[in-house]
Amino acid sequence: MAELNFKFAYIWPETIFFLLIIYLFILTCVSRKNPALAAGGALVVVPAGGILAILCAFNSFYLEADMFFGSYRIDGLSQFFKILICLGFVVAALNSFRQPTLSVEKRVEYFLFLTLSAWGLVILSSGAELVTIYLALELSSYSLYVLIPVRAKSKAAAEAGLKYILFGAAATAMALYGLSWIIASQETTYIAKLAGADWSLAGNPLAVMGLTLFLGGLFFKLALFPFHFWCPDVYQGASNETAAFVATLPKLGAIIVLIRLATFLKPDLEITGILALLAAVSVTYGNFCALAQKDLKRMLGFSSVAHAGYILCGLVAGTAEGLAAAAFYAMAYLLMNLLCFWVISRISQDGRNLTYDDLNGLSRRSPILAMCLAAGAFSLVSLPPTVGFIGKLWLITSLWGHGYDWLVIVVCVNSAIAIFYYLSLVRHAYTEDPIGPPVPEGSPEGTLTGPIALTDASAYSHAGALFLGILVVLLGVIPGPVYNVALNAARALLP
Amino acid sequence: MVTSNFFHPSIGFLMMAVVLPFLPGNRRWKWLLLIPPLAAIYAAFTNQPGDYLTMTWLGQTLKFGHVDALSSIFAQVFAIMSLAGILYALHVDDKGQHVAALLYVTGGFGCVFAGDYLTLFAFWELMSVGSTFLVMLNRTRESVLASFRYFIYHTVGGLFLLGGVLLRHKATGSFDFGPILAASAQPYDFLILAGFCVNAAVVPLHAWLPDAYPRGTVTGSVFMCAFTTKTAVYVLARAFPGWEILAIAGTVMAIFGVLYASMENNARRILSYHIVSQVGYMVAGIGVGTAITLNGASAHAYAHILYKGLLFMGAGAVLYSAGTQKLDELGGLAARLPWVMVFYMVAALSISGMPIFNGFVSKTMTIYGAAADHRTFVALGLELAAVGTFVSVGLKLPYFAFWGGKPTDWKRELKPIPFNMYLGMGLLAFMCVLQGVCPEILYRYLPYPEAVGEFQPWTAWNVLQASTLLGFAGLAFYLTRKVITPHKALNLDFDWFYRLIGRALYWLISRPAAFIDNIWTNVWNVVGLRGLMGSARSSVFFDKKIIDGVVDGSASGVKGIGVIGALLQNGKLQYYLGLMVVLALGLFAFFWYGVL
Amino acid sequence: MPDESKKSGFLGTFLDAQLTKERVRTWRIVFFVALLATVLLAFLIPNHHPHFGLDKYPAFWAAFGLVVGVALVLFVKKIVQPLIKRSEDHYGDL
Repeated sequence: MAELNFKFAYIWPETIFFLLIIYLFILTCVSRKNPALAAGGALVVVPAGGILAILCAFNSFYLEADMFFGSYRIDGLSQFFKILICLGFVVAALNSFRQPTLSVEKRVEYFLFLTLSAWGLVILSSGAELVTIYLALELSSYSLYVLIPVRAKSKAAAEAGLKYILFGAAATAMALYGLSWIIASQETTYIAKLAGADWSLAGNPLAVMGLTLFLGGLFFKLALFPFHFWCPDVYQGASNETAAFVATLPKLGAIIVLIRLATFLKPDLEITGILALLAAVSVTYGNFCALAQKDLKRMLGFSSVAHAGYILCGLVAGTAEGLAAAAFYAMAYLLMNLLCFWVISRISQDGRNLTYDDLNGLSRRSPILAMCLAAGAFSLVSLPPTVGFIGKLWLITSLWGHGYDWLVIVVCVNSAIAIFYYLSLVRHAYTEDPIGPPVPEGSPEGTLTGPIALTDASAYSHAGALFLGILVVLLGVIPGPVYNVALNAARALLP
Repeated sequence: MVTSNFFHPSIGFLMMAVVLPFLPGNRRWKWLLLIPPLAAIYAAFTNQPGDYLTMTWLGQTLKFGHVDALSSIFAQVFAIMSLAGILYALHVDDKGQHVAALLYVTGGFGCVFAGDYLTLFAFWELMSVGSTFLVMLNRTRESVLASFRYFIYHTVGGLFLLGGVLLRHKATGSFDFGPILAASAQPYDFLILAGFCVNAAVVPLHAWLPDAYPRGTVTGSVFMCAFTTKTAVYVLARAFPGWEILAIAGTVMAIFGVLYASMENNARRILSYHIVSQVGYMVAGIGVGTAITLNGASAHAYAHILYKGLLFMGAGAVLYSAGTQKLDELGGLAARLPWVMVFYMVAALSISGMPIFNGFVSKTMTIYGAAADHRTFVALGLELAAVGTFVSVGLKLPYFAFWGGKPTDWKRELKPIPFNMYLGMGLLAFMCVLQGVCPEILYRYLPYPEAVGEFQPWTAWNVLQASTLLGFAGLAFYLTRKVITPHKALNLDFDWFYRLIGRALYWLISRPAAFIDNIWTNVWNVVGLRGLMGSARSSVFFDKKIIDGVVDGSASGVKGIGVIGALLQNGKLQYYLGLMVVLALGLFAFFWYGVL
Repeated sequence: MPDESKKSGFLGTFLDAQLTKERVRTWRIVFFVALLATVLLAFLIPNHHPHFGLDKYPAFWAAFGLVVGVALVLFVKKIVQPLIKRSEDHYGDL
């Protein structure tokens, strides 16, 4: 339908985010005198708005519309990802409330940009046309560029921010160049129309190369090899809470675009072959580098490179089950990583970067945080009964038998290799002795000293960890309903 | 999962049970305990009939929310009882008892709303576990032993049920939970019936009830008296209406219960035998199977939960305050526990069927229905049991507990009864009177509305008959009050047989097993152990030297590769950009031109 | 010493006051008068739905209650309990 077709009732999540942004913007202007009060106001409004957006997205689940001349599409897939993005936003925002490295004056602006970035990702979920996608991608990226350096007195953060900007600029320039070739060769940017075009190298080399370059920009967001080099440095340099957001939500945005584009990636095309190759190298490289890391966020950065590869496996197969598996694994990835970052943020009470040794003694300091961290680690390794296991299982089964069996073997071998560094988290939390001076005589049983003793073991931190931990296990035991939703959405794209 | 407007009351109780152990120690968490029952009451009164919460799991369809008139009425009274029970138990600091009670109530609601046998079985077992702990957490040797016997017995009952359900599935292919016709009954239906009858305390499977209930905690027995047996009544009403054997069994239960109750010394054991008797009314009503007797069974279950709960609360309050529940040790307490006595008498008169109280509007319906169906012996048997009820629970228990022919005992030390216990009792007493005076509020929810009009409780004749019967039963008590005086004794019941069977099985299994084990141990020590140690040594060698060598070696090798790979990440942006461009274009080129 | 009657003053003292010989006699008279009243009323208010032959007689239920009550107690306490009575710790549970 090439008409304006603007239905206000269908875009409540976007509207709520927009209203949040307006509110936060006004708050930044009027809050010079009393930043603490303004921060308190944001503390209530932001998660409330996020939850409201989730509810609106739930309500609009079975709607379908093409708005704005076919460039903005509301369907099952977009609403599924909107729910995920809103959920990730709420958790990341709640995580960011107690940020030791963020001064009070900057809090409201911090949330303003966080919301802007999430808003950009929400719009990205519905983008059905390459320029819209590009603009939404840029909106979310720019908002994040501002947030990375916000870490009190940290030169590393400034350096990370700069790397992110420059790397991102190079990647998006490449993407724009590729977009220009696509427009030149296919004469349209609407994904629906592009789906029917010829994408073989022999038939349309300009379009294929253009698409590959455009995908490069997306791979930058996804942190796929070889566009991943920014990833570990930026995670390490940014504050723990910002890294939680950066590590999870932008990837969801990239994944949904790739899922939409995957409608025209048949398994025998060269593009699909490139995707498979990049996925394999990404998985292997990410895993091997993560083995050598001591800093937790760097390790998680390399692991996210590997996970980007896993998700791409679902897209390579070219079936609706593969797309559904990729969407499901995106959700699983979101939950697992948010959980690990939540625990890391709670342990690091002065906002510094943590190493494996900083986890020693966590099981004594806070058994609940240790247990939830273990659940997240098991899920990242893909051990049953967690959601990571089921997600990876579906990815592998959807990929087997479509000519990419070698990729399945690579994925399985690397999952085994990854056990070492993920379970090191659990090993350090449960079996190692805490680092710190010896406990003085006469202290009560179970007293800890050293950095681990400062861990935030309040009800707030436990509640968040338990919520995510329970979701990780619950969705691993009863994944059916969510997977069926993703499958229906994928079948609508790829019958 | 978006469902339509159905809130399963179990959810609140289950969540509370899971969360409670983690709440901090000061007493404020007790207020939270009131939320699940209030939510359950709201749900029970607003849930619309239908099938909700169906879920497929491992290939089976599980129905968690089968709501119709029969399950609604039971859910209502369970909700009210859960509120009263929790109010009564608010003074208890032991979180374990609360968790056990919450899980128990979860099971009760789950069974009432179960639409298929698998769901029913799961919640049935949950109830069994919850109630075991309600007995065990009394923490005396007597109670702990009783809880073990209770648990073993109920597990056996549950196995009967499971066996019947699985055989039924094998034969019919479905787990659906619905009426079973007596004419076409199969052996597996009898197994299911046996499983249900264990929980319904049908004679001769009833002896667990007087064994365990008097030994539970003061507040735990209040919960137990309501849920286990009434859930069993509900499932019998749903699956076995009109089975002749139940009519006979019910009448036998009714009389058996009052006979033993008239003999007993322990106040809560009298009440436990009474549960057998009153459930007999309901089972008989289900057995007769006409619409009016089924209505009567449901109405009686509703009223029974209310007044039996109140009876246990009263007896529990005496136990809590005076420290004993043995009637020969009590007496002269009316002036010192006046409100307990008043609330107890409200329940006692209700259970006897005195006009103004709710027993009158429910018990008489069953008897009328049996008589209308020309079941003379059933009706007469139930009237006989009514006389016995009044004599034992309505007169004997309160007389010997509160008066006993002795003057007021000012010397005895009584623990003050917390206000929340009075609140719980007051709530139930209020409901008893309310239903007795306005029976419409009960009749409105009966499962067979077409039969409600046939029976009017408040006619002159009915009131007169009830008053006459009870009055002269009172005279009978007055004349025999010296004979009926309780003395300390244990009255043998069918549990003599259960213990015999248990001991026989134990002997049967352990003697031969011990013999074989003896021989085997010797053989093992001589032959097996040496062989085992030898093979263990060689496995250790193999594992340490060979396997570990390979694995550790390859692991360090992989890690070494990782270290080298990570060197690429050297921190310099220009290297990153350069590497990205080179690698990306290189890979693309490899693919475009290498593959072509 | 905790004294429940202090908490619920009027009811406790009222109940205590009923235990004197005169009061007990008064209550006994009230009871027998009520019984007599029910028997008399039975002749005035007939049973419209007799279900078995005997209950059309007005005093049937009175007799039933009395006879069954006395018979029950005598049967149970004099015949049954002596047979099945054992010591409280017969099974060794206590």
